[in-house]
Amino acid sequence: MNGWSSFRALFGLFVDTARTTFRIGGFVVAGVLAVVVAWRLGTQPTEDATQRAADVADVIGISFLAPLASLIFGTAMFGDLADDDTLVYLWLRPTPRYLISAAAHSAALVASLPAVVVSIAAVQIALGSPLGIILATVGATAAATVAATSVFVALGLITKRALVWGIAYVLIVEQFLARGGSGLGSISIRSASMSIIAHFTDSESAVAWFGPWRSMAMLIVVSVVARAVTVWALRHREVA
Amino acid sequence: MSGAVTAIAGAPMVSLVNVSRRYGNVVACSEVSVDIGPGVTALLGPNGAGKSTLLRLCCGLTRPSEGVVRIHGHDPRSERRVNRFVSIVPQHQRLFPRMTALRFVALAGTLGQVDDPVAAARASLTAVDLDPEDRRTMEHYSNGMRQRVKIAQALVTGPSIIVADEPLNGLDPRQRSSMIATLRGLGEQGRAVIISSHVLDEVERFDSRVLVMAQGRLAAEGSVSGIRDLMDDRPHRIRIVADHADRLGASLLVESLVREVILSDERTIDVATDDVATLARRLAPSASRLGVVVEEIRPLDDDLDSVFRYLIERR
Repeated sequence: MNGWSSFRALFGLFVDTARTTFRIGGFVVAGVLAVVVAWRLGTQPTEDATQRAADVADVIGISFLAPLASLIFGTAMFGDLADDDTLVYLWLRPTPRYLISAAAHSAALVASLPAVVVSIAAVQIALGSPLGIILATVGATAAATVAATSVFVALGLITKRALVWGIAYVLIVEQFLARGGSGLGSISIRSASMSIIAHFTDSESAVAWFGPWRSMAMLIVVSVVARAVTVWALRHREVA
Repeated sequence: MSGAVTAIAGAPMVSLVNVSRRYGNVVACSEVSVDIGPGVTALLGPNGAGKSTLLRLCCGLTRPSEGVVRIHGHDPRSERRVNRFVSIVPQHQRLFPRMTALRFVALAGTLGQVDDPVAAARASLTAVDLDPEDRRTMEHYSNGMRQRVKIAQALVTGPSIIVADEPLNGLDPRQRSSMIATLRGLGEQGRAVIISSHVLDEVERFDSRVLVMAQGRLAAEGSVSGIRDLMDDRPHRIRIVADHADRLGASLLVESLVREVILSDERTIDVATDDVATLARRLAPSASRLGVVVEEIRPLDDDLDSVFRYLIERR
């Protein structure tokens, strides 16, 4: 009972922390832009609408909206508290570290997941994609968002300037290493997510290296490891 | 929660044994050994003396590079449940800006496993003269109000150890008196209240045990009156500006009123004396006898920093 009360209190705090006009406004602008671009693309003739839907899911959803929302809201969870030294008010309490971690990850997901899911669904609808494609791209993008948000929550705790590190991660791992075949690609959220889309839409992708089950397992492992890193860092970090 | 930690019988409330803390090449705290028990204990020292580091070590926010820290006999870094004994009032004024004070203090109570956090938060806020029903968020609070909110969140869990870093910062005189009374009262209840300050007069009002820190080391320990005696007993340096300062300096040496004279220029001497009162009484007659016109007399080290320097050099 006490654990649940602590979780609820922490969850509310983290949601409040992440919810700024700048962050929400910034993502709304990005989402609207994405829908406008998709709508313009949808008016262009194409020979392979499925492939176009998969490409748009990759470029706009998994490579842009998912990392953007995850980065903005994920790094804010502990990053804001560490930056202004208010983390001490949570840390110096007998609260289990896994509860603090769970509250932060949950709050980050509550902020990032609906934003991405609604945006990517709107993008695919604007593109004129059939329901099966919409479900596949939304599902895969949601899974990518869960994994990326987990990574960025942990990054916000273990690094200073987490936004910079996060952008570096996206550019190096998700854009560069993801193209490196099934070896290097196995550490890429984008690669796993696009593999799922490629499988369920019967489309092609330059970063789709894996089967659907392995891809799902990769995303789950990334999320679990990121949460474990968060708990470890909370136990061992020094607090100002 | 299962596995609740209990205080080990006979163990000091806070114990530091040969504790050092380094940040790279900087030694913030060096070989500090001290036990802290009930009552108010003040860490006194100039800025950069290592007070904040020592406070953070005391509650486990920082791990020692060397040495052992114990709270009620437990290691605060490895035994998280020890945190139920400790609350901190940080030096910074930052709080969660979009929360009300009641919600913030209730959050502290919830995380501290208080049975009725909201009722406890109301009581804590009332104890520090804040209105629990104030619906403004804390971004609208003055520094004084924020300071009191910080105290309230520390009190809400009923800790046996309260660590307060410069707790009187940002308070007006009336609030200072109230805060001092509150912290003294907590000490009289049997809690260990550890505060830091760089102002001796401020510490004096707590009527506390004083640990003097300088350059990361524990330089002295005792009562405020003992520290006052140290200030009086140490050699004092005084600057005298006069039209024939060299002649005056020589005369003061001959009369054994000073132990050292440094001629800065033709009109300025810096003297060191163990007996300021006698020098003050006999300086004017000496100058008059020599026909020297004294233009300025100024103490060079009549502040706490000079006491800290003296204590360190003496060790």
